[in-house]
Amino acid sequence: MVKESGLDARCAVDGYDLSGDVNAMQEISGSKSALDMSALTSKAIERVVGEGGGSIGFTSLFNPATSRAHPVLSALPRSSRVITYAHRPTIGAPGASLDAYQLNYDGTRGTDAGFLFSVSAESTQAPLEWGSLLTAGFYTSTTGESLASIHDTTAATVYGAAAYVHLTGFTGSSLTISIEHSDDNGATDTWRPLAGTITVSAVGGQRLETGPDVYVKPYVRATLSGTYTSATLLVNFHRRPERPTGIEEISYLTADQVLFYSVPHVYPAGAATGSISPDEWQLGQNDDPDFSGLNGGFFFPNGTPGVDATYSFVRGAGPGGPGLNYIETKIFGVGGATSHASQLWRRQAWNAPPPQVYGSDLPTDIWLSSEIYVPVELAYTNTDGSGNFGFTNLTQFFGNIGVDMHMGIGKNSAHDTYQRYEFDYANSSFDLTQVVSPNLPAPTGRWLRNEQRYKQSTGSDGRWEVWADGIKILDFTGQTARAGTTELRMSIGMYGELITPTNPAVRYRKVGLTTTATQPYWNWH
Amino acid sequence: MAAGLNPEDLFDAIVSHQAASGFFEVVTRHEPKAPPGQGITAASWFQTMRPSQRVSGINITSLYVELVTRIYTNMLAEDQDEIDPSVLRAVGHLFRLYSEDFELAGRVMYVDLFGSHGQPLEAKAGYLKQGPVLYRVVDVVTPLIVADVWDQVA
Repeated sequence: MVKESGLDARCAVDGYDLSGDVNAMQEISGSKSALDMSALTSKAIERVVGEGGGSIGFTSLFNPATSRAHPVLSALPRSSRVITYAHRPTIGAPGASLDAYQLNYDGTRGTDAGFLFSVSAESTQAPLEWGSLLTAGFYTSTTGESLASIHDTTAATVYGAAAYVHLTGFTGSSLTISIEHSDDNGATDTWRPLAGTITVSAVGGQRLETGPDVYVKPYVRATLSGTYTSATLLVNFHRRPERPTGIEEISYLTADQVLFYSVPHVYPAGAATGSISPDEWQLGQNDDPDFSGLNGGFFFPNGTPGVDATYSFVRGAGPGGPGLNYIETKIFGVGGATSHASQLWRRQAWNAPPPQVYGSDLPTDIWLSSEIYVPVELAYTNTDGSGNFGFTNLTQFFGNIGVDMHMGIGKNSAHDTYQRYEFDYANSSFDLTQVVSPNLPAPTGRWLRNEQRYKQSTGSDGRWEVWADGIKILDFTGQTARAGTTELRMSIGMYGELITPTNPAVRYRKVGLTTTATQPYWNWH
Repeated sequence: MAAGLNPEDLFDAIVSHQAASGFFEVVTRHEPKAPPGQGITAASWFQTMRPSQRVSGINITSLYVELVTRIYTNMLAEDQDEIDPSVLRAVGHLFRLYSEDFELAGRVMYVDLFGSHGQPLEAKAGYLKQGPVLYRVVDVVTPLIVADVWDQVA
């Protein structure tokens, strides 16, 4: 390793390049509080890590020119600012960023006529984040392009990421910045957006972050597109090494926007593995096979619960600390066995008269989201009516009459494991064109985020939208329900005729039914 | 952003002020090898240069440049009572110009009058024998701060 000095650094504040005016970085600090948890029996102080924070402090020279230190820093806005210190102006160089409140702009005019200002900034809600630059310092792009990638880890990480963008100069109408990732630098694993994108059209700085448990591949790059003739920007990318504490990915929704949320992050105190609250899922063999009630059930069309199929509630574990808990559904069987299912059902009333099991009418515009983990490739004979693919149903989302939207995953001789979404009309008495998404990659061994919006309508304004890993891959507008629909049925779990492997298992977590999108998964602020 | 170093500009700024002042018979940009002539002579040369910590940015280098102007007058010239006052008058005039035009018409960030970099504008008198002639000399140290001279590149 070569030691390096701090020469040739950069400093950006809210989309302004102040490198030439900032004279010294007094502080680039990430901090954690240590909470004293000592008990009477402790032989030494016991501590746990508390909240993180960060601060950046620097000295600037007096430069009253436009877009330079004095006009930028003297503004002292009450809103937060994005501040980035970049070690070198090269792709992959370390950079530290902070979303912070600028607390002061303190000038000193000494007797020697020196005129210097000190600035300090304290984090708003995220700690100081060291990352790697995705641009060569302040990079000027004149046309849409993908920049060179960084390879900042040998193995993918599973705790999401944050990115900081400073747009310091712009001529055009819009610029879209997409953070993309790949397993092998695009060789065989196509570059895909890590999650959403951001479109900017004016000088400024922004921080964005993914949810706390997003899979991030080893290679990362920035891709620029839009209508512009010149855009100068600096992007710093922070890969989270461990799960941030205290962040629930739908916590920014209000309580009345969340109709249902299963598999919380925190394992219930005293709960035994295998227990699932009946408030969440109704369980039992053919618990309610004719759907006459408004509950749900653990559905085994052929077989015996616990023998042919099981579910279990598993305490999650991951590198760097506890992972999320999840539900594991499992079928015991070998290829060619009779079709089995291990599905957890949930049903909610829809425009139905009281009494209703879950207390309120289900809105006609709802979002279903979940994360699915397939440990090994699955192959099933077709069960979804499309005829050609080895495919197991993994989520279903449908009314009691007429329509059925589901997501499946599987492989056949022509495909590696893929995922696909279909709007199926097996029970329909009206004739609509079937809607099918493209076949999407579905890598095994990682959590796949999916979200569907279903707007019920017997008219032409129904809607079915689907996001896979934060990317919208399907958008249907048209009739989505049949008159007389009174229930929403929702299931997770496998259902199909198994080919391979023996005793397959699929995991689910963060199953949510909400009245608004949990997307976009990037939270810009 | 970086403007580069332009030595001619710096000497021009110093020497033109001296020449325009009317106090000096001869103004040079070098240290005289032979005894200077009659009257008051001003010779300027470069003495010290270093990057300025104080006014460099984190990616750009500013300079501290120190020029020295040596003012000579024959210490045996008559009226002897007038030697030091005339030299002081000339030096004072230079100081006045550096104070009233501390950016040297935009050529430098500032003349470091008060020594924010350690060395203030300063004049020190002494005696110097050059050839057969003994001179009353004053060394005027002029610290110049030149901003944003070079970019830093790894």
